[in-house]
Parts: sequence; structure tokens; C-alpha cells
Amino acid sequence: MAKELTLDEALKFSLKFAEKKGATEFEAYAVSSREISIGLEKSIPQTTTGISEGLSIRVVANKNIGFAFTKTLTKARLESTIKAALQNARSKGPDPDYHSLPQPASPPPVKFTFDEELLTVTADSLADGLEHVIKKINAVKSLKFLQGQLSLTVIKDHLINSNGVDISSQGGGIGGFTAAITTKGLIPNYSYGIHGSPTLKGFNYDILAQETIKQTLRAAGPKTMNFNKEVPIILEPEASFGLLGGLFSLLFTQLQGNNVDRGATPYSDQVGNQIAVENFTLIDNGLNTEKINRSLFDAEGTPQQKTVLIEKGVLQTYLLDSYYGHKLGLESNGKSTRMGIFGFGGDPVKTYPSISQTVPEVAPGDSSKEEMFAETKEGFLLRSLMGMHMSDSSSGRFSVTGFGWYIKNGEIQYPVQGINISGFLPELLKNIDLISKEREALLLADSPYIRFALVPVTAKKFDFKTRFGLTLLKIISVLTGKHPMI
Amino acid sequence: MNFSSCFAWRAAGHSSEGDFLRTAGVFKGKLGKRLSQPFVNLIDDGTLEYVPGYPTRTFGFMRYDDEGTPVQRTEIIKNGVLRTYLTDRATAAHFNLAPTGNCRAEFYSSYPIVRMRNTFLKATSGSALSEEEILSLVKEGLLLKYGGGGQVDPIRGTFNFGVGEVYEIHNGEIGELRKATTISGNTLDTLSKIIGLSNKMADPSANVGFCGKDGQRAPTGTGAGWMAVKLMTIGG
Repeated sequence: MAKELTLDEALKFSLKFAEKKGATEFEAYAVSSREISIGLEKSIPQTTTGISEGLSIRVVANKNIGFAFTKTLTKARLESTIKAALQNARSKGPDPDYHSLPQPASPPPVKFTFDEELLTVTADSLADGLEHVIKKINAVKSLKFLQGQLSLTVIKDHLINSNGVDISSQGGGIGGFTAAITTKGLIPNYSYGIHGSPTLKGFNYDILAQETIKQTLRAAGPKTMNFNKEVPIILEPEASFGLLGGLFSLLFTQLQGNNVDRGATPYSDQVGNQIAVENFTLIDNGLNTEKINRSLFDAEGTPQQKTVLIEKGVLQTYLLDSYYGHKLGLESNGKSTRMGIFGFGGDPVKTYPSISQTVPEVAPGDSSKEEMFAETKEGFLLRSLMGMHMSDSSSGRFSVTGFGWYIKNGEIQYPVQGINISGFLPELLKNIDLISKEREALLLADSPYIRFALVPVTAKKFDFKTRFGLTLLKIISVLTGKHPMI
Repeated sequence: MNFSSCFAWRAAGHSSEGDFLRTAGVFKGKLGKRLSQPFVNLIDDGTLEYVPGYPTRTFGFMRYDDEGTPVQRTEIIKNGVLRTYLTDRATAAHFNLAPTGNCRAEFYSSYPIVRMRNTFLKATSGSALSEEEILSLVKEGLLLKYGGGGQVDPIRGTFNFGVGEVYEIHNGEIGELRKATTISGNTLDTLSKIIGLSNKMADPSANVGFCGKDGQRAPTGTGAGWMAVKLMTIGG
């Protein structure tokens, strides 16, 4: 069996081999990760432990970039990987817009150190923590733990390129979600809490339990209703930037340099123009070190920065990496990312670096939450949206289904399932009329409550047959103490 | 992917997966119960290699699942009644059902989970309608073609799909093309409102899908015939 190199040996070997084979520029990203994940669906546990190493390679030849990766660190495999990357570059033909890989740069003006305590976390300690959360949830009379997952990720990486970039870092975090279900009312409903931290000290199982309990109690006893008119809606921070797809995920897609370049967004050539109301300021803050995805440099070695995308409603810039920054006549603002960091969406070794947000932040407004509700004669408060990823980013048209609460005469009345909202995001940004002073810290974003003056909302009440069926299930659950759907 | 397949796969298919149902879900506790009209069958068929008349192999065809269980043609809903869930070995044991060969994992590094293969709605023999008969049955409404992405909440039973091509149906005939839209609804509610099905299956190569459950991609297919639903919520 051929000897495997260490990651640093593999980096050096690859750099030399790529130069020898005619690469005009070369970049290698070596990553070693350790992940522990424990999931529980009711009482059925699922534990996964993974240790992974690999090398992602980008080479420049024939004025274009080729990408390849390997998880086998033998010399023969590294050579074949680099040859494949070179072939990929050459077969694409010259790209007149290609400029260069990033040059070395000083780190940004923030500091953080990797929390060595994360290395002490084991599957057993995560399981104990999850059990603690479950006990807290089940101690609440009307709630039952439904499912949950906790994960620990520790990543050690090293990025080099032929221009002299040489960055080593170690990061990681601990976090997860738990969900609970309630059978209060006719329709069973569930909700969830999400919590995470880049340090062990910053992670608190009680916070996760409390958030899950709070959100599920709020969601108890939902109704369905017939509704079809334009009314104000208030987005909770989770509905704006939640992990499951908030409304502003569409705006971030529209502000990505690659989409701007393709003209696949209404915001191409809009820098300097008023695209939102004056009290709306949107930031992508790569310098926010409180979040689990913190880092000093982006995926290709550009220092992280705090980027004001929209200031007082005026578009300032886009999310850019080195390629699209140059192509659009601007500079990279450090938004190149590799998916899969901290367990989100894949494997960092296998994914081509692409543009994405870091930590979205909306500046606080001047209303209080109470004022927002009080000034809503009839409308909805939304916590979660489903289907944002199907929206049309070129026009901003969206139509999604959400969960929230009906507001009447300034007061929250009851939870509602199946609230459909639709519209065009560019119009909606000019339709924001209130932003709360209070901001909530989400796992990967900070946002206030945001109210839109008028949004088309439709909802449909369950028909008699469905309500009759739910009534029967309710009777069975009262008689047997067990709900058939749970 | 045509819209009928989209509903069968994403909404009804996910709702019948044993691992979801071990926790909670709208199909839970409904084995043996009527969910739809007697002519409605929901099938998940991993053995379907080719759709007659088309040279392309279906995207969800396989011989064994990722636990080594032979795949089968599973009648999830037969004659309108829920007959089984989709299972792997663990969930089959949990529900005292036969393993249906639906255990799938994306990579060697992925945890195997329950998911669909070729999922489609089919009318009971003798009850199938032609596409022209479906249009006549609807008379006034919308023809939704080519579903796009979607999202399903199998616990609440809600779904939301993109629809790429929408036509008016006026006097039982296809009318003007309308703008792309989304459709939302409740799986149980929609199943109960199916009023007609065509068994004319479409080209599998035009009905290729990837299921993204738990962040794992798995190829799924195929192209079911047209489905007529009495009432649905169409997005703006």
C-alpha cells in the first residue's frame, strides 16, 4: 500500500508538481475535520462520528481555472488529481475576464482563538446534554420532545497559493436544534429551538431547551383560516434569516456577484440607487466573531470584512470573491466560501469555492416590538417560511407558505398554519414601514423584527372532512392519552 | 418533472417514509384508512427500469437498496387506502411491516435513510382517464406543468412547490399560458380532493429528480400521468 503524506507534505508536493506540469497559478486547500453528531427521533438515537482529511486544488492554465480534489493523499493520487485539474482548466479555453488568485494580505482587525475545550466534547457528553434538554422539554405538561440533533465540528485547515498566500487556521463549534410537539387544540403542532456557539463556554443546553419550550408553547393550538387580502406582515428574525430559508435569503442571492454579472438579478447596475426604504441598512459582517462560522480569511485567502451592502436604502456593493470582484470592476470583499464548513450543506473538500454571505445583519430601527403590533389593525406575525429557494431571483418574485400568528386590533390572536404570502422582493423592500429597535441573535445572523405595510396573504381553512377527522383523533387522544399522529 | 410526479414524490412520498413517521406525521396511525378516492393508487417502484415507449432508464431504478434488501413495487396507497409505509429494516421492524427496500445513502460517509425511488400516482384499472377527459372534467381551472423545486413539512403535512408552466383551462380546453407560480397545500387534503388520474406516463428523461432529504442527494423519478384536483391554493 502506497504511503500517505501528511496534509502539509501533500500541500508542498502538490505545489511543486503543479508548477512542473505548467500551472501558471496554483491554490491548494488542505482540511482535516472531526465531526460528532448525535440525533434523536423520539427515543431512537443516531450517532455519527467522522474524521476526514482531503485536499482541494485549483490550478490556472490557459488563462482559466481548473478544480479537482482528493481524499487519498498518496503521491500518485495527488499527481493524477493535479493533472485532472489542469485538464479541466485547459479544456475550458481562455477566460478573458480571469485576473489572478488573491495576493497575500494582512489579517482583519479582529482576533479570536480556537477554543481548545471543544476537543474535550465526546459523543457521550453530547448525548448527556441532549438528554438534559429532553428532560426539560418533557417536564412541561403539554409538550413532548419530538426530535433533535447536536453536532460538534472541529476543522483544521491550511490554504496556500502560488502568489504567497499561506494561511493556517483552526475553528469549530457546537450547536444543534431540538423540536417539541404539542397536542393542545385540534391540530397538533411542533416548533423548534436552534442554538450554537464557536466555544464550549458559549453553548448552553438550557438555552436550547428554553427556546424550544418557548417556541412550541407559542405554536400550540394553531388554526387554519380562510383569508385573502393585502395586510401588513411582521417578520420575526427567524423568518428573515432562519436556517430553513428566510425571506432575505432571496436578497442575498440577488446580491451575489455571479448573479449580478449574469444579469440574473434586478440589482445589476443599481449601485448608488435607492432600492429600499431609508430606514433599511443591510450588512454582511464577516468580522462578527460571535458566530459559529467565524474566520479571519475567506475561502481563497481574502481577509474578512464588514461589508455594508445597503445603507439607508441605497445599494452600496455586492457580495464578491476575487473573480467576480475583478470582472465587475470592483475588489473582492471576502465572500468566497466553501460549503460544508461546520456541517452545513456538504463537504468543504469537494466543493468549488463560491460566493455566499457570512453573517447577515440588519441595523436596528426606531420602533419597539410592542408598537409594531399595536399599529397592526389586521395582519400576521410570521416565524417560518417554506419554499424560499424556489423563488425567481432574476425578478425577485416569491410565493411561500409560512407559519405564524394572526393579529387583530393590535393583538396576537392565535397561531395559524398555512399562511401563503407572495410578491416581488424589490417592491417589498420599498414597502418596509417599521423596523424594531430590538434585535435577536440567530445562529448565523442578527436581525430586528421587520414590518411590511401591505403584502398579499392567502390562507385556506381545512374542509369539514379534515376537521372532522382531526376531531376524532383528538377524542382518541383524550380517551387513550396517546395521539395517533404522534 | 411534471407536477403530478412532484406531488406524488415530494408530498405523498415523503409523508409515507417510515423514519419520519417513527417520530410523527400526517400518515401516522392511518394504515388501513381511506385517504383518497377508490381509484387512486400511490406507487413507489424501484423495479421499474423502463417506461414503455421510452429508451431512457428511470432515475429511481435499482436492484437492491443500501442495506441489501431487494427493491420492490410498493403500493403505498391501494384503491384509496393507505397500505404501508416506505421502510428500511429498522422502521419495518418498528411498525411490524415488511421491508420495502427503501434504505438509501448518498455516499459511503452518509447515514442510510428511508427515501423514495420511482414514485407516481396511478388510477385503478378501468378508472384511468385520458388527458382530454381530465381537461373536460376540470372544465374551468389551471393546468400545472413542470413542477420545480419544493419543500414539504411531513409532520404538519404542508407542501409548497414551484410550477414552471401554467395554462388556463377554459371550457375543458387548454388556454393561455400564465406566468410561473407556486402551489401550496396540505397532503391529506389534496389526496382527498383528487377527482381524476391519467395513466399516460411521461418520458423518464424529462422527469429526473434529486431528493435532498437530510442534505443527501438521491436520484428519484418518474413521470406520472395527469392528476385532476378539485381545489388547490395557487401562489401570487
